[in-house]
Amino acid sequence: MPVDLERLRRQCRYEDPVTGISEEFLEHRLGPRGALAVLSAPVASALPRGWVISPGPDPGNLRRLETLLAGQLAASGFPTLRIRPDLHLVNGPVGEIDLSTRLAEADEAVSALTEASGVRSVGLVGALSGGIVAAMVADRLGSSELALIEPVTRGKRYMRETMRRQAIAELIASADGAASGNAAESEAPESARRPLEELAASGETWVRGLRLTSTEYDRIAAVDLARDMRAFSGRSLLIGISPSGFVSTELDKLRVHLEALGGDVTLEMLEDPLPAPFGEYPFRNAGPMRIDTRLELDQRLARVTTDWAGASLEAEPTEDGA
Amino acid sequence: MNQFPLFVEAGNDHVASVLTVPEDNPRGVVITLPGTGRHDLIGSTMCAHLSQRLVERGLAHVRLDYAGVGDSPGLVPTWVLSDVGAASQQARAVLGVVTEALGVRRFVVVGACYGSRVALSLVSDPDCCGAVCLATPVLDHGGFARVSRAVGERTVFSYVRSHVALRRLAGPLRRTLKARKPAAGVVGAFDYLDRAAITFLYGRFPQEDHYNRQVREVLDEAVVKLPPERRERFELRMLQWGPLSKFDILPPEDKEEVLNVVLPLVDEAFEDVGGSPALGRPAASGVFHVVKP
Repeated sequence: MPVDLERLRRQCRYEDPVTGISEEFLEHRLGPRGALAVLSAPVASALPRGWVISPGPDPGNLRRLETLLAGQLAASGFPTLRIRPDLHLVNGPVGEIDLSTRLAEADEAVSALTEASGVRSVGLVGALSGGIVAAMVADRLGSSELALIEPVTRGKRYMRETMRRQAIAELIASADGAASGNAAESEAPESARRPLEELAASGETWVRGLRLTSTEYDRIAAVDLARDMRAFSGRSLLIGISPSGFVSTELDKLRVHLEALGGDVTLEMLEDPLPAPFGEYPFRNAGPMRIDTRLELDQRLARVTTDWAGASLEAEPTEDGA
Repeated sequence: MNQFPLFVEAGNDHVASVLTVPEDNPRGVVITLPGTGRHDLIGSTMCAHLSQRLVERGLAHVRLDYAGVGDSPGLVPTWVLSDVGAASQQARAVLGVVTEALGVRRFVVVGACYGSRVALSLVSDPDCCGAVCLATPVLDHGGFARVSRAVGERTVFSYVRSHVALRRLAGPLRRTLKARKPAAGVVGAFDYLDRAAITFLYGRFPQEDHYNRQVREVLDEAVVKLPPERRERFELRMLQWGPLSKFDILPPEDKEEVLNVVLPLVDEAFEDVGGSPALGRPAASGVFHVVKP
């Protein structure tokens, strides 16, 4: 029996009458590795501004937040496209920390969103290392809006932290090996003890299951948004998250820089106990249950971002003067 | 190889999934079900790694995000290991759409951690040829954990302490209730071993894969009660790579080794359907099979 291709193609979209949005996997694939593009859009008439949500070179545990945010932006009238790196039909599964590819995908996503939904302007959103992607693309394309959620602003510090966490994770794994009485397992491989040295020696290392080349390491480490953003003068939302509401020096530095470029910057600090660092595995075991400790924070982040996005339209006259 | 990203309706939910199909008509469908860990890709990294290899073997492959996870909309504040009802319904909905569109009925299910519990809930389907379960949690928490979660552990203690008669019984009762018990959904799946092969895989650091001595005892006890022809369709293997529950972050060569164990098991399940157990499949009851490179 032949495959019912028509049926499969129809299944790429659904409408939710409760929220008044549709979601659709676009046929258009993004970037050199053919990332999937998911368009969330209002079923009724859409606003002329859309949003692209960019994942970072290290995707982190952020897909749920991005999905939630896309749904809320769409429910508020904004067509929103989120980028989903996925299995490549030729090259296999994605498994690299790769800023160059993420930038190319975000670039293409802006055009894909414009083509698919007819919006006249596109803002960018990124969380953590996705903030680097969103900010760099917004700067390059001259976007009018940018929302960054607990963004990585300095690549060098971010990469060092990433490598440090990898080394610690490997140490814990080797300690587990020792605890289970296996001497061989207690000996951490050289690469685990010194991922930076391995990177220097062989040109690549593995971080949380993702390949990282020295080229990409250098590329990410060279990023400093408070220096590299040179043109962006639109509206921006910077959201920081901390248990005390304390604004990090780096986030404040970025705020000052964007204001110096002539931008209209809103800085929002969200207080959250962060039982797990933002972007890390958010579940806590409690007897037979596994509790999602980030659900409420994700909802707040989506709400704050959507409210801020909507506020810009209230200030702007629409084309027909309404 | 063709890929179809899908949104499948399942009750009030919509489940994001990705179907990968070979150029020729597939000889069966493999559905992979993830745990609740970190998943960069729809349906987890392990599921995505399997896609290409399964398609090369002439099989269609579908992976999914449960509602409230990744790209499937919804909010799920807590996950309970013993409650796979909603996830099972979502997996069945995805399978329904895919098997109908492909014109293929037979399927094999591969699950990891929580996903292996969901996988075992699908074995009762007459078209299911087998299940490959990685890091399966075999035991459920006892009654004490359930009660104390429901009413608060302190409330239970206070109540018991305030009654002399209850206080005397408290120790033994607590020990009884706290004991972890074999999950009905796990042992119940063995009823279908007459036509579906079931394999449990656990990795290095087995305790991180929900495996311990009690699990072994429970499985031994369940398997030994089975008639021989069913017993031969169950297998437990201990692998030297892992933990399997953390497949995403394993070194690439270890990922490859794990997949090299899973793929032949999937093939065997399709070949074995309805007949006698595949030749060379080791008997299982109480036997560890340690696979070394």
